[in-house]
Amino acid sequence: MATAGGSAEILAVPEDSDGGPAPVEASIRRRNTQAYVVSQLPSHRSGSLDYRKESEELARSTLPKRRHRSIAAARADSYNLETSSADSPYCKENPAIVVDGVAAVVDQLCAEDEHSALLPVGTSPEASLHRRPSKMNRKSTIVKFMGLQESEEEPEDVGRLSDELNKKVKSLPVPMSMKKKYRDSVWIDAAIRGTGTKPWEKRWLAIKDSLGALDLWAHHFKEIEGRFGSAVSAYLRFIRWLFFLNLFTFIVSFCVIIVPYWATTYPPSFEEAENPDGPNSTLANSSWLQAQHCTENYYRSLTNNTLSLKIPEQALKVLDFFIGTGWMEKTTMFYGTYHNRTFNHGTKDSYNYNMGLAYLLSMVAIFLVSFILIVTNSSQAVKDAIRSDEEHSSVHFTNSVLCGWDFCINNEKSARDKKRILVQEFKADLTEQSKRMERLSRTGKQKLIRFLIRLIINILILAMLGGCLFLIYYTTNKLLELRKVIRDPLLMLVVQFVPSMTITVLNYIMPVVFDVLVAVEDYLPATSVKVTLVRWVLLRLSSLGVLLVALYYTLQVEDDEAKIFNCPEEGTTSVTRCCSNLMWSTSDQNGTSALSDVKCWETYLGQQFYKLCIVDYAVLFLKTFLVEFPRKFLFDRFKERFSLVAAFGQQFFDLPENVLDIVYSQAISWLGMFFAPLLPAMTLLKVIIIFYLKKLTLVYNYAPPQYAYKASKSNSFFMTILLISFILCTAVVGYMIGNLHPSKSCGPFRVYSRDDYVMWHALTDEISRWPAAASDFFFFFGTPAFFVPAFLVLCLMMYCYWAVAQGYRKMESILREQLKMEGKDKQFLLARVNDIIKYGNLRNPDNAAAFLH
Amino acid sequence: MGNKVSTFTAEQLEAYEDCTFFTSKEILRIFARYQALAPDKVPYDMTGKEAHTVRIDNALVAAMPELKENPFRDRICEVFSEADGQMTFEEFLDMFSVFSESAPRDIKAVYAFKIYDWDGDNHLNKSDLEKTLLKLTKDGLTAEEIAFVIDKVLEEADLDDDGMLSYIEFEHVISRAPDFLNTFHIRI
Repeated sequence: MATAGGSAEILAVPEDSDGGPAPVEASIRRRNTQAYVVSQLPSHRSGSLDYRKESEELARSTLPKRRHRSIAAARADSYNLETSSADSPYCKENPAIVVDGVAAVVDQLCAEDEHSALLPVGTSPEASLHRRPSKMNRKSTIVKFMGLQESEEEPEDVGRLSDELNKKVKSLPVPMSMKKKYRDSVWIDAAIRGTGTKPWEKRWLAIKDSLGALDLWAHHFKEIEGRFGSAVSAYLRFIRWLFFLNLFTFIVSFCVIIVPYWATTYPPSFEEAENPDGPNSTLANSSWLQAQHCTENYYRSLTNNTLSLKIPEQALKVLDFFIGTGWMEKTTMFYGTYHNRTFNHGTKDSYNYNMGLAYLLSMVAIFLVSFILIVTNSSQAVKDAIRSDEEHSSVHFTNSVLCGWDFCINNEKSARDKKRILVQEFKADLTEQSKRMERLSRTGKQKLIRFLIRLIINILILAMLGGCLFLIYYTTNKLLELRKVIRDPLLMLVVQFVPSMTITVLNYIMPVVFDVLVAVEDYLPATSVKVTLVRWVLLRLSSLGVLLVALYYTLQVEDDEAKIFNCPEEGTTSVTRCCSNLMWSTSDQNGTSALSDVKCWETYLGQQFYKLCIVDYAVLFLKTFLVEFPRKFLFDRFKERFSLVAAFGQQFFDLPENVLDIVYSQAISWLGMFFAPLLPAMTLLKVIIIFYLKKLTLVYNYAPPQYAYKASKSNSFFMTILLISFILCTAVVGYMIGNLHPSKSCGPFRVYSRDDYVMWHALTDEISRWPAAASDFFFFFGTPAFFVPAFLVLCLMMYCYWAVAQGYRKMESILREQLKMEGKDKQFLLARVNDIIKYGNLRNPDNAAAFLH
Repeated sequence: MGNKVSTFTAEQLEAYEDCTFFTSKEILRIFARYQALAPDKVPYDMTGKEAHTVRIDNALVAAMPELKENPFRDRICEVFSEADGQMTFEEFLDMFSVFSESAPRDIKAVYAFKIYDWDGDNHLNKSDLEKTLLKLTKDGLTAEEIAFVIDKVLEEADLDDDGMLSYIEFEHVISRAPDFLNTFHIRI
């Protein structure tokens, strides 16, 4: 291909919109590609062209009025490929811009009237044709030519080729008809069509189709997206994801713990159980007897509990249901009920189901899989967040202009709101800019004042946080004492819920206070959102933490004095712990203080989480039906009449608050599921209810969020919060399994009387019963011989990744510079081309002088 | 699926499946939407060349609930339709394929660039950006503010300082904008 300027490409300059001749330089300046030779082709021409002649001629002339032909099409001619005549322009609005791996090239092969053809310097036509066959004239056969060439390249590897090609076909940024042609050319060989690829693909498509039906709640997303944009829809997606997580949790705990328990009926209760080791094994027998005594005592106290309140039986049952005591305590809802059961009792293949082991293994499985799911799901989100954080300063405005619109929005009101939010955002950005400027010019005194204000407010907030936490601690601690005194059932109900209510109420009141305070602190808008969020998260997680700490101190930390007398454990009349419980009542014989004792601390913990879960349910319904709907109603009715209603009545969807709500409920589930195996089922139900309620209330009651949350940011936010609470929950549950002594009066671990026994031993004991090689293998993982090298290797790997990341970062900045430089080069060359056009041939000494001048 | 037989041939459907990010079910659903836009114009039988010869007005497409609130609706239709102001079913399908969730970033970026390139000169110059910004904010910003924002955009993204964004520069930004994929899609 001998064109003017060697491999230089040819540019057909467009006319100005008025149709008149455009000055050459002007139109060149509009281009920002590499060096071009400007050429211009007379209209109505087909067949091969002599480019050199053309371009020389064109360099001097002005543009013709009517359409000119694309050089590219003409070049295709020179390859003896069919093209259409210039009269049938094949593409009007299709500057086929194709991204091709490393070099994204702006490329336009179709030209008509206002359009021009650009090809970058250095792209050989063959290469560009080869890469982008579909940019050819739609009537040309070059597409077919290409396709055949490709399929000839690898006729054997049909499956891979087709898969790859299929993706390629789909991703071509060209009209359908071209894609179809390209596809046909790829599939032209009937033999290829016939070979197993197609059926396989079809099956895959069918699977995808049926999976589409499984795409749970998909149609809701569209509605919500249309009204509230992608960030709120990301929230619903997060709920859906949690639904699947909970479904998995529920299935595991249900299949491993509850179904075996229900399926086996022997022994019906622990007292009737026989010692599986046989009545003659003395050591086992003593622990067995101890457990039986403890259990007996515990169950008797349960009956006592029930009798001590003087109210009708039915009401009592309802009360028990809500606080998880009495008859509830004996159901499979709580840890205390479970004990080892036997399949096929009495027959010769009877099998003892080790409930403790099942308990442990199911928890390990649930936490492990949840961890993997959360991490894989959050890695992308975190990556996005880091990226957007990095980019925040450098291309913030570009992003908000070019990615500002949410194309999902299809609701008039939200479209208006979105525009309003965008305007707000731009204004906020502008003020942020000016604030930054102002900040730079601030005097020391002003800075000092601001610093003092912030300090005071932070101290204030910390004090409030401390106060809240103390309140939670206090109510939890007092609960047991209060139980002793109160006789009125209703008051009892209230008292039982005081800690859960305190947590919930604080969770709803404090954020409002935080919001007010952050306004005084004079942060930049973006920072203030972040600061409030951090405080919020801190409150939510620490309130749960404090509850746990309070319970831990109540149930597990020993006082110095011995206070237990009538312990059913043999030979122990004055000890601090009885049946591994600290709060074993001192005088349960006469029943006076029966309510103050805890005879199975695991169940007691389970009850607390059960109550939290119930309160959460209640709050969910109350908030929706007693706050949101009435408020909306009032707003609609009175917004014209009272300006106050109009000002405060409108409810805006607050994304972080809702996310924290659902993560909080998830954390309750994680913390409580060991002690209340049916809690995952409750949470699963709750997640479903939350989804539908939130959708309902979003549609009816809410205006889109006031702050423009970004979908990517919120996604990473959800996941980060979830991950943090997951890690905390795992730590707590792990500590309990690994360090605390299980009660001897209840639960699957009651038969182990060893004083240093912890639940984790159920697993290690099981392993040590295996063949020596296997158990040695597993125990090896617990030794320093494994641990220290593994730790070192991990550190090394982390360092390696870090180093590689640093390398990439450096590379990126270098490439960025290079991109800049190339752009400058381009401009320089363009300027030179301009000069050449202005002054003609450089070889002419006069012109050269003029040029140099 | 009697509909399937009468509307498209199996080959046609297969071709559409290969060329778009949709399954045959979705394609038929999209056809139903297309057909509903101009019931008297679009035949139920598309087995011939109707899919790329029968055209309906862009205005009808732009009035679809999916697009009607989009400030760029007219421009989107313009980009995807070849004939002046009219759109065939294949173009319609193409459009939603690009906006579908499974479409990769590359193809979305190409079309986004085309949409924002109002004058079609392959560069986003100041007037393109201004038009985009005006559509986005609808008289919300003053002229100075708009000028300031555009200057900022160019300062950030215009790597070669020529006062406009080429596709490379556009792609450089878009490829790393985490929200682009989330927001540049339309569910149908």
